[in-house]
Amino acid sequence: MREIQLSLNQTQKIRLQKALQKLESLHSKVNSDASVTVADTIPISLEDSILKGHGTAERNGEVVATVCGVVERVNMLVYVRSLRSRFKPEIGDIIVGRVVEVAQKRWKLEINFNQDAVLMLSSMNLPDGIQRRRTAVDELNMRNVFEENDVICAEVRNFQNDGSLQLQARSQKYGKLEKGQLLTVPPYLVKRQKQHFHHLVQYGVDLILGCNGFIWVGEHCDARDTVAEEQLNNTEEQNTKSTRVSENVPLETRRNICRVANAVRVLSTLGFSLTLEVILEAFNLSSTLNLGIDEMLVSEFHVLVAEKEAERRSSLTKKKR
Amino acid sequence: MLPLLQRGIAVHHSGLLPVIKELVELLFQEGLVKALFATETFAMGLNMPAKTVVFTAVKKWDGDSHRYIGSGEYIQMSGRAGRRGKDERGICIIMVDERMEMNTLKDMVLGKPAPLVSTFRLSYYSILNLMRRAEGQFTAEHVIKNSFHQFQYEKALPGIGKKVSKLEEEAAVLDASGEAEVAEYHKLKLEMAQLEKKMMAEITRPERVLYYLCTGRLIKVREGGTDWGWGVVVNVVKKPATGLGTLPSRGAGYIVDTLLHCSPGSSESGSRPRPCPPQPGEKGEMHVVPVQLPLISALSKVRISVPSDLRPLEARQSILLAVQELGTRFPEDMKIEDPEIVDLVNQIEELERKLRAHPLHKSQDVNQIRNFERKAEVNHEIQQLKSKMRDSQLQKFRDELKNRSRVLKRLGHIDADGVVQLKGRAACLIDTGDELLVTELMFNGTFNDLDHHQVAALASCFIPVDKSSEQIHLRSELAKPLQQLKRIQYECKLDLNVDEYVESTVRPYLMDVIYCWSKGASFADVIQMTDIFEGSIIRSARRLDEFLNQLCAAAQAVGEVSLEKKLQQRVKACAEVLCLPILFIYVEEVELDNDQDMNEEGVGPLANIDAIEKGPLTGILMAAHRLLNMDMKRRLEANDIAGIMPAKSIRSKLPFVTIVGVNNHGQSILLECALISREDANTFKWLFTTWLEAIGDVHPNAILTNQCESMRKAIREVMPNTRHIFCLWHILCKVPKKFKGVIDYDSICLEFKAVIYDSLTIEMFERNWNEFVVKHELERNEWLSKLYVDREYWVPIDLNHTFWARMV
Repeated sequence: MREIQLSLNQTQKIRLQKALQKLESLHSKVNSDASVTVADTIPISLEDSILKGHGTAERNGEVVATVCGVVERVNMLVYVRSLRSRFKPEIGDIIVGRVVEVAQKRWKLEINFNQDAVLMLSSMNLPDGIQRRRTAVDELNMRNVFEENDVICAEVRNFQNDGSLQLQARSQKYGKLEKGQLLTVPPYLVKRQKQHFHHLVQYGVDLILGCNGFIWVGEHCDARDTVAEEQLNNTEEQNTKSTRVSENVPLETRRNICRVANAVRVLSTLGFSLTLEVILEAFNLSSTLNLGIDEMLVSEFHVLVAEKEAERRSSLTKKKR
Repeated sequence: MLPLLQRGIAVHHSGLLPVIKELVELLFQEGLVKALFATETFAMGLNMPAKTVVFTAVKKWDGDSHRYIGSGEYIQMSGRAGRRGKDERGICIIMVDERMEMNTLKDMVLGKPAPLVSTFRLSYYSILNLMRRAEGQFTAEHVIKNSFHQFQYEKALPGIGKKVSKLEEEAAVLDASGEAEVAEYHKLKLEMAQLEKKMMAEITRPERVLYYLCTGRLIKVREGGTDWGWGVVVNVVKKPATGLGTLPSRGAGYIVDTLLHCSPGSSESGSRPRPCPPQPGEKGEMHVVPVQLPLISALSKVRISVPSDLRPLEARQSILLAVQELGTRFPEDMKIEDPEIVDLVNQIEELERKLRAHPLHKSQDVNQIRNFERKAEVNHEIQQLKSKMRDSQLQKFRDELKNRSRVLKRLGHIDADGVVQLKGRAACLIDTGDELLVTELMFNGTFNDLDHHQVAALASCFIPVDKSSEQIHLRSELAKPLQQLKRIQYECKLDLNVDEYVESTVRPYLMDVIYCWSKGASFADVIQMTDIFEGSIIRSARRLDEFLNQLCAAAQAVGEVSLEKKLQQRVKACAEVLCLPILFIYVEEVELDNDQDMNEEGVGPLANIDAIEKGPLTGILMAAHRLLNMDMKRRLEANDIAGIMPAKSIRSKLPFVTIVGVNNHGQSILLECALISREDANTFKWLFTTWLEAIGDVHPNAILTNQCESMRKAIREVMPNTRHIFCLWHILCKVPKKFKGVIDYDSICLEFKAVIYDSLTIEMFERNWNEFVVKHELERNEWLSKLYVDREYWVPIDLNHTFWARMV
């Protein structure tokens, strides 16, 4: 367990440790000797022929881990799922990224991978929604769709032979993200789930958990048809654009956005994996305690969240039994 | 094949080697084949008209049944008759060798082509790939909803609705008078029939009836609608078990040989297997007929003595007489006294009485009853249609999706939330074989301790091939993995019939073949090992190649390096083996591109067939002798005329060599082209020797190539008197690359060209060259110094003394 960078007083420290220990004890029953560091021997039964997967190597007849992480076994396959590494994308992942460059027929996105991801002009729906060949005009208008520093969400399409990554944004739900906050957390905190897009109806907030550890919290917008409108507006009134962004977000929603964002921050500092449940839990805890948004980042709240989470998980496991 | 071809007769079917198929097609197009025996495969090809098409049968075997040829197939095949510009009319002969309904024939000849019907189905592969994308469940349903299948179903809905309403109308029209009575009467009748059936079943229970079926017993036989009357039991035989798996139905296991009264001549001619009872009044004969137990409808108390020898006709006739007499004297009777049966008999009698008492029995209003029956039928049909309407296709697919997801979850491909796991990701990449099974094999490490030959052989099990009747002799090293495979299948198949499943997915017919082939046995040896057609072998080998590629990708996704390496090695070896089929693909391509006249076409490949079968392939030379059309020329140029790389579509990247000449009009002619296995001196030597042989040992005056060292060596050896030069164009092409990074590149290029082109004598060239090199300090440039050494091969001024037909 890594050190948590918080200034805690003595009681808080003890409480936090207790909570974390409780969590650990709940978890460790599953597989106790699963975590390894580099060069640790992975125990295998010798009579079976095993397959060595990612993060393993053979040395002197023993299987050795080459990364720090958790040993996973699928049938005969043994591999090490690394923690705290860069994001390792897989096809179909939903990611949030930031445009770093507009190049020939493509945008380059920073997605916390070891290369910039590529979003081709041809692999996203055009603003007018028509399926057609991309013309030179489209190419010239690329900056009207996404510019440098825009935040985008998209899906991993495939890997090229050279290891670079191609994205696609062929659905209404993908596209530019506006009026919100982008948070960066370690990617291992975001597990692949069925749903990565969450609409918190009661708060009017959209939450996108990108698999790459980029998390978007923003004002809810309906299926992003706004992009199309904006395209039209953009061509006419380029200069008013900057003012449009900040308008129209009610104060209440903005508060909610910040509260959700802070909940995520707290959880990531504690190193809890981020699911909608847990985030909402932290959110509700803060509002029931009547904490101000800024007070959520105080160490006391961290401890509270950890305790609450420990309680929740233990009750969950009890229920299962 | 060759002697046949020489006489103008050819055979064409899908199991032939691709090259032979090609050859037959070419010869046929040229009109050199007078009679061609072909399967449907041929009819599907393009532009293969014949004068006459003969169908030798109207039925065909389509994998599971003999059926009449569909109208679409008929049109396709008969449409081959009649060559444009040659025949006035095409002739189509159908040899109808059996009785055929007029309508069937009409349907076949004039029928509409078969409608397009969707056979959309959900496979594990597609489910996994859908799930892999975000929000899998949603997309899977989305796909189903938007599928062609669903569309067709929805389109059919109004039609069904109309049919229902029509049937309902009909039901309403039907007379409903006295319906209640009729219904009752009908019910009685039905009940009685049922009871009778039950009783007979009881009677003919083998354990009971066998006791009475001794020689001489009189029995009554009824089969479906035909009543055979009384017969005499001769013998009872127990049939051998029909086969594994099918539980013999009760009583079907026994056969009673019975003397029956048959119409004369019915069983004498062996061609008519089914004897039939004589018409009333007709004088019949007695014959021994095997009868199944359920067909016996009544037993008699009486036994008659049967003569020991039944062969003479008189003996049998005497029995007939006795039977007839008995029939008149004794009423039918049974000796079975079981309370159950007695009860049944009583019930039947009761019912019969009731039936008689029923008013309708007397009136016998046939019309009414028929109406009633019809109505019941219609109602039944309506119900069926309605239920069909209700059970939506979407629902069906959703259920299937659910079931299949459950299987995937059990096997660990997806987790409880439907998120695809590592195993699923591997399975996503395999679609040629059975994805689940293959992933299971991979994750269980089955491929681990096999060498790459064995892996290929094992993988060949998953490739669909023709069934081979041959008993497979598996080598011991292959038998083990196969056993393992079966075991795993047994483990991982949840609710399927294991044996059947193993049968259907694993086809080990080619294992041995592939194993030997991959070990380096020649193709000729390999085809001796099996009775599967060589063309099929090649087809499946190609699929195998694809399958191995997918497996390789899956191994990569899992991160299993050693397996991946092994597979890659395998794929590479496979590609080498497969250069054989690939060769012909390319030939085909070339030939399709050039739709000019093809006289003597095919001679080239023909000459080389034996070369292929002999063993390791050096290459293949194809005669072309044709003008290059513009398109072809462009393509060749794009591929670098001297032919280093063929089109990218060829996976094995075999060097494709074209030999181009110039005719007396200054046009380029493609003389020959060749595919060779590698670019070394020996191969080129082979190529040039073969080429010289083919063109009648006339050494060309001059030959132009690129600066390939091995080619130069080969030419020097094979054609010592031929002036060999390097293509200047190729050299100049390399200039930008070689001078890259030199200061004032532009001026160097210009000067270099000036040196080459503007030198009037050899001495002048040498002087200019030296000046050029010194001026730009290029003494160290290896490329230039090498060029200088070889200068007599390329400098234009050096070549002035040879005739070049403006090719330089």
